[in-house]
Order: sequence, then structure tokens, then C-alpha cells
Amino acid sequence: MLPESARGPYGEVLVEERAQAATALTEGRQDGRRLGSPLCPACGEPLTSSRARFCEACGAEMDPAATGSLPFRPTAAPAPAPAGTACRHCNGQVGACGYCDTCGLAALEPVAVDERGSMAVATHRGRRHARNEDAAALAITGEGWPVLVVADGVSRSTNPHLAASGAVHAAAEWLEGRPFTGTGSLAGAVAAAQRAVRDVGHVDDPARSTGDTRAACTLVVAVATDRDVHVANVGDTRAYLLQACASTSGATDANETPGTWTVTQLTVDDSVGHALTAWLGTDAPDPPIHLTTRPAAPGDVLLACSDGLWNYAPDGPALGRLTGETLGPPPTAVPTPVPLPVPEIPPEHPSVSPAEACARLVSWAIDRGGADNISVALARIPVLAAGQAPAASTSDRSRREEQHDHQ
Amino acid sequence: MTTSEPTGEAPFATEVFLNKYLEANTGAVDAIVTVTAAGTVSPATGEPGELEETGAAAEGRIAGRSDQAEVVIIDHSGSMYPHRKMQQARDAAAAAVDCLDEGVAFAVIAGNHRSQMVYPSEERLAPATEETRGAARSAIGRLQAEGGTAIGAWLDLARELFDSTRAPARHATLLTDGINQSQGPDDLTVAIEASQQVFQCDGVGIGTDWDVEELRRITHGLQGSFEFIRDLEDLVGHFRSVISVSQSRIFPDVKLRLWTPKGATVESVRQAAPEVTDLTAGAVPYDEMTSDFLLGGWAPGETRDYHLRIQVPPQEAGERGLGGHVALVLVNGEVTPEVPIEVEWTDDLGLSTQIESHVAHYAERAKLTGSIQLGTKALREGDEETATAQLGRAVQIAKDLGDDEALGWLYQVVEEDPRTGAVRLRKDRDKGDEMDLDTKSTRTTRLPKASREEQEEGGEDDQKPEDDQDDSRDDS
Repeated sequence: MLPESARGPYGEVLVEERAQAATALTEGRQDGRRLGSPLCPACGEPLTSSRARFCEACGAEMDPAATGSLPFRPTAAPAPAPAGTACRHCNGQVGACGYCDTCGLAALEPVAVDERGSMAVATHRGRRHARNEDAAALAITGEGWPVLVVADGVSRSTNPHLAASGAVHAAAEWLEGRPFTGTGSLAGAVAAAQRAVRDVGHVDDPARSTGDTRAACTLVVAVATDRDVHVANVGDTRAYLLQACASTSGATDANETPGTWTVTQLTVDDSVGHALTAWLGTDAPDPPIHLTTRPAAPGDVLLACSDGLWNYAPDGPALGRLTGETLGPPPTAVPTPVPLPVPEIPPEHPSVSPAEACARLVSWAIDRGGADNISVALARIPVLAAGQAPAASTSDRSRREEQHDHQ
Repeated sequence: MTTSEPTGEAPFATEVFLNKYLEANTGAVDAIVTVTAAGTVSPATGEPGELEETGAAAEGRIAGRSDQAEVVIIDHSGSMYPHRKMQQARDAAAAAVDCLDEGVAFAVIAGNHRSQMVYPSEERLAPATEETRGAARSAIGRLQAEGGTAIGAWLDLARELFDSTRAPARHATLLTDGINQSQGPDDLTVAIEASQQVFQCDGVGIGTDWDVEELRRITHGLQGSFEFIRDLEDLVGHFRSVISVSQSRIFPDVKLRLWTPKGATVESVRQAAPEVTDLTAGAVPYDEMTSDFLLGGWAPGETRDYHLRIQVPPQEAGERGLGGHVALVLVNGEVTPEVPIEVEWTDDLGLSTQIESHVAHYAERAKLTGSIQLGTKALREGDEETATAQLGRAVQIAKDLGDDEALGWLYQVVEEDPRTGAVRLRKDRDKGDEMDLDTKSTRTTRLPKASREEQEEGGEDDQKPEDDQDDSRDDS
């Protein structure tokens, strides 16, 4: 039996392996804790964010190299909307406990956003679902390439939020700081995710009155190098490549108007109509994994998202228009090179920052109805400075060997 | 299930129990609100004990005995003469006066088709001292039975006396043996309504000529309850008890303030325990979304449960909101922190169709009360067939609830055929038995704390038979 404290934000019992699998920093800690925050290596208390500079509890300074390597995980419990904000439903005001003083309806919690370098991710439960069963993570390979991971928990299954959370975390950890070998790396990441989802124990899900199906989720892993994009997916979470229409990267969409974005879907939907046909989890021992590679160029944008977004913009032109409205027009000149890896990036671009873009896209989907959980992750194609070669592997061989042992 | 933590802030603690999941596109909210006054209940007798000097409950309570006003109202209509009723009533009134603490403002009224001061002779309250008590006892001793019954006039006089005092805790004890025949029901209604928010009234019925529903209407309308004293030897003891309980109510004139969102309707607010009373009609509007419900005075440690039914505008699945929030308003105007009634709309019928254990318990008790009252009403109308059916159902519900006390009341009037088990009316029952059952029909027992906690952890619908050690204070 897990101790009383080992309950997640929805009252679910945290699987002990889940808590321990969190990060290397948690080695030795036995008690469960909320998913969503790394721990201080000095005192073990949760840090305020994956990129905190100091531990709030003991004051220890965080090594950016250590904490910066932790993948983003969405906030586990939605933070209430601050008092004083306008109510979405009526003309009233949101009061102190997060409910409108007039109509009593709860304000939607704010969109959870995180960013890292030239990448960002935003996620929200939408309007109709009680909890967010999407998850997303960001990572950076050994060479400094951005990695986007998005998973969508299958609603019918038990503890889909734990499946999604476990999957993105495992996939991001697999790729973090390691040399990227294309298809092999992607396959390894998906396999790690599959193991994590199958590890989600058969525990009671307080938000499910019925259901004995095991935890399941979809997955997309998308990596951008300086010259191409690599994507793996299972299920119906998608990744797109957004390119300036004038680019010569072989876009197939019909919309050829210069100054707009051309959108190419990189993933293959495992669905018939709206019915999912493949997913990760115990009930799907051998899901097909779709692997795609496409050339890309600086100025292009890699986008990964769950169906909470693309259901409202299902085809290329629709998404292209949406992207134009959100990101602004595509750049006409090659962006300024910035060395890799990049913990912070000064906003030199005139266009919208990735974090802002992700937040806007999620809000757009909420406004369109928010019928499902929404997650959007975005990365700009990295640019190498003149003379800079893609970095050789910086991770040590022993770690690589250790990981290989797990396969 | 959603339960809120007891707020624990002096001087009252409030908890809300309900199934927070509403079916999408519906809006019926059913919640139980438990209110507990600070302080301790004496465990031996269940009688409220002294307030511990926690220092936490400084506001909203009386400062001293002069903050309390008691009026004793004695029926001296002609019908009181036979069977020593008048004699016993005089003794009871005298005993009540003797029980008054030093400094309490008091008066004794006698009522028939009019009302008159017994003590003091002028229309005012007097502070209780050895001298005034003695004078009151003498005046009471001279009271004679004569005339009709117009209870409204008695209430009017009591109200005038209470209007003349600044004491915040105001309580009257009313004894009657007959129905309000010298006055129309509307006049009585007017008198009751005028007295609301002025004083709290407990009632006693003696003999079998008074009307149970009438006395219930008067006392429940004035935040009190009533008792049927069948054996006149018990009258003195009962009056002492009523006064004693009243004097222990150091938190006078408490109100339940209920806010509901715009577009919502308050369908009903009922006290569910220790007695079933309907507070809905007595709501005092505070603002366009808030109403106050009069709860009367509270003794330390006292706890009562309320059943709220609210209809909120329906929402789609995924929306979260408030069905309302509750707070308590104390006599000094202080308002306790609001406790939210949180709801969440869902498509999952498995979640929205569950019934929270407190709500289920009181729904069952309401059925029991209803069956008993329909049965006694049928008896009054001579409809034995309906009475048998309703009281038979009541017996079954009482058995399902494990309520032996209620079964005892029922068995005064019905019995079970030893062969078939069928319930039938007792041939040896009398009017007093039927009135007693009617009087007791609105008593309820609370879900005992132990089985409450078990049910919260274990499941939703299992109806454990509760123990019968309810908080049965001597009612007043």
C-alpha cells in the first residue's frame, strides 16, 4: 500500500515506479509526489519549474546543465484563474475562489505554457473534459536539436493522463542529451514510451466510474535538425512542417500564395473516421510506428499537436491560415544563426515567440469549443552559425551503454 | 463525492456534503449542510455543556444573563379547568420561573381569547431576582381558567414585550390545551409572521384537544419545536428542561445565508436534523442572489443538519461551477467565511447518478416523516384504509433505517399480525397515541459520525442502520 501522500492531484494513487522514474535526481526517494515538477538534488523538495535557478526550499543554486535537461511536463493540477479576471460566460467577475461572482461558473484555468530555447509547448484540458489527459514534453538531443513530444490519453482507458504523462516523459528522456541517429533514435524513444505506458498500474481512476481497460495513449515524437525533420507517431496526434510558400522544400499543398505558410502533415493518422486504430499501452502489444523524414530549411517551423487542435483545422489550408494568423507571415530572409544548445534565446525575430504562438493556438481551439484536451508544441528549425558543424555526441558512453541494457 | 473541511473558525463550523457531479444539461443540486456551534456538548446527558473558554467564540454570543429574555405563556382558557390541567400549568410556570438565572429578563403571560400580563402587572419584562421570582409565583398562583383560545393574541403580547428589550436572545415557552378556536387561521398566520425575527418559541401541548399541526405551525415558524406531555406529572420537569435548554443558547438569532448564482432557484431549505422543519417560506431576502434563513439560538456544541435543494442553470459537460455558497450570520452582524457548494457537469452517468450518503439518509427520513404524517392525517379523517397503508410503509422504512425509536412511536398506533406480519391499526389505540405519533413524526436521527466516515470512504449508497444514540436533547 502506498502512503496516503502518494496521491496525485486527481486523487489517483501514484504508481511507485512512476514516482521513481521521474528523473535521476529522485534516486532513493520512495514517497509518491505530484507529477509535474523535478526535485531539488540537495533537499529533495519540488522545484518551482524544470528550469528553476534556485531551490525555493533550501536555496541551493541549480546547475542549468542538470535542470535544463529535464523535459517539460504539464502542470498536474490546473491553477485557478486569478481573481478579478472577467468571466468567460457572463459579464461578471471571477471572485477569490475561482468562481464568477454572478453566474458561479468556474473560470477556465490558464493555458499551461513552457518554453526552452527555440521551442515551446502549451496545453489545456479544454472546456468539456474534466481533466487534461494530454501531455507534452520538450527535449534537446546531444547535438542540440529540438525535440517535441506530444501524447493524448485514450479517453476510454483507465488513467489515460498517467499514460500520456509517462509516455512523453520516457520518450523525452530517451532522446535528451544523446546523439541523434534518426530512425534508430526515434524507434528507441517510442519503445521507451511504450514501456512506460504499460507500466502504468491497474489502479483506481477516480474520474472513471467504469472501465477496466488498461492505460493507453497516442504519441508523436518530432525532431528538427538544421536540414530535415524526423517524426515518429502512433495514433492520431500529429506533426506538421510549416514552410514559407516560396521555399523549395517540395511542399505538396495546393496553396501557393507567396507570403503564406504551406503546411505538410508529417504523421500518418491511425484512425478511421474518428475511431482510433492504434495506440500505446498494454492492450496494444505491437502498434505500428510511422516514421517520416522530410527535408527542412531555416525559417521553417515544426509543429506537433493533439487532435484537440487539429479537429478544428483538419486540413493543410485551414492550418496554414491559422498559422499565418498566429505566427505571422513566414520569414523571407534566413534567420540570424544562433549557436546550439540554447537555454535562452533573445527575441530578435520580428515574428511571434514560440511560447506565444503555442498559447495562442491553444486558446484558439478553446474558443472554437474546446471539445477535447489541447496540446501544441512548436520548434523553429535550428540554424547553425557559419563554420559550425553539428556537434558530436557529448553524452558519455557509459550512459549510452546503460540505456542499451534496458532495451 | 465532495465534502468540505469544517472551517473550524469560531464560532461555527460548516460542512457541505453532496455528489458534485451533475448530469450534463441538468441543474438539480441536493446538498446537506451541517452546522456545528463552537464549544462542547456534555457527553453524559447529551445536554449542551458550558462553553469552553477558547476565546475563539467571542463574537456573536451573549455577554451576560441580561442579554436573555424569557416569556412564559400559559393557556388559561376554560378547558384548562378539568383534570387538574390548570393546577399543573401553574406549577409548571412557577417551576420555569424558578429556573431562570439571575438577571434574565422575564415575564409571564396568560392567554385565553385575549392575553394578559400575569407578571409583571405592567407590560414590561422584569429582571429575575429572588424578589421578582417570588412575586411572579404569587401572581401565577392566582391564575384561573376561563374563556376561549386565541393564540395569535398571546403571540402579539409576547412580541410587544420582546420589542421593549434590547436583549438579543429572546425565547417564549407556550403551553396550550386547545385549538385556536377564538381566532381565524389567517389571524394566527399574521401573528406568527409578525413574530418571526422577534422571538423564538417552543410549545407544549397537554390533553387531547389541541391541534398538532397548529402547534407545529406556530413553533416551527418561530424556530422552535414542541412536545406533547401526556402525563401531567411530567409537566413541571419539562418546563424546567425547556428553560434550561433555552438559557444554554448563548448564540442567539443565527441565520443561514445562502447565495445562489444568477438564474438559480432555491427550491427548498429544510432543517433535516434533529427535527424536520421547512425554512423555505421564512426566507428573508438579503440581496437579489442571497437570502437568509432564520435558525434561532444555538447552544455550545450543538449541531444541526440542513437539506438544500437548488436548481441551477444547466451547463454542458466539463463546466465547473458553484451551486451556491453558505455562511452564517451572527446576531452582531458578523458573517462566517463562505463555504462553497461546488458542482461539476459530466457526461459520465456513473458519476452523476450516485447519491451521496448524507443526502440519501435524509431522503429516507423524509419518506418516513411523510408516511407517518399521511397516516395520522388519514386517521384524523377517519380513513383507516389509507392510514393502515401509510403507517405500514412507515414501519418498513423505520425497519430499513434500523430506527427502533421510530418503531416504538409507530407501535403505539399500529401492530404487526403475528402470523402474517401485516401491519394493522391497534384496536386499543386512543387519540393521544395518534397525536403522540404525529408530534414525533418530524423527529429525525442524524447519520452517526462513525458510520458517516465509513460511508464516505467505502461506498456511496450503503444504508447502514445507524445507532439510536441520536442527539436527542430534550426538545423545547
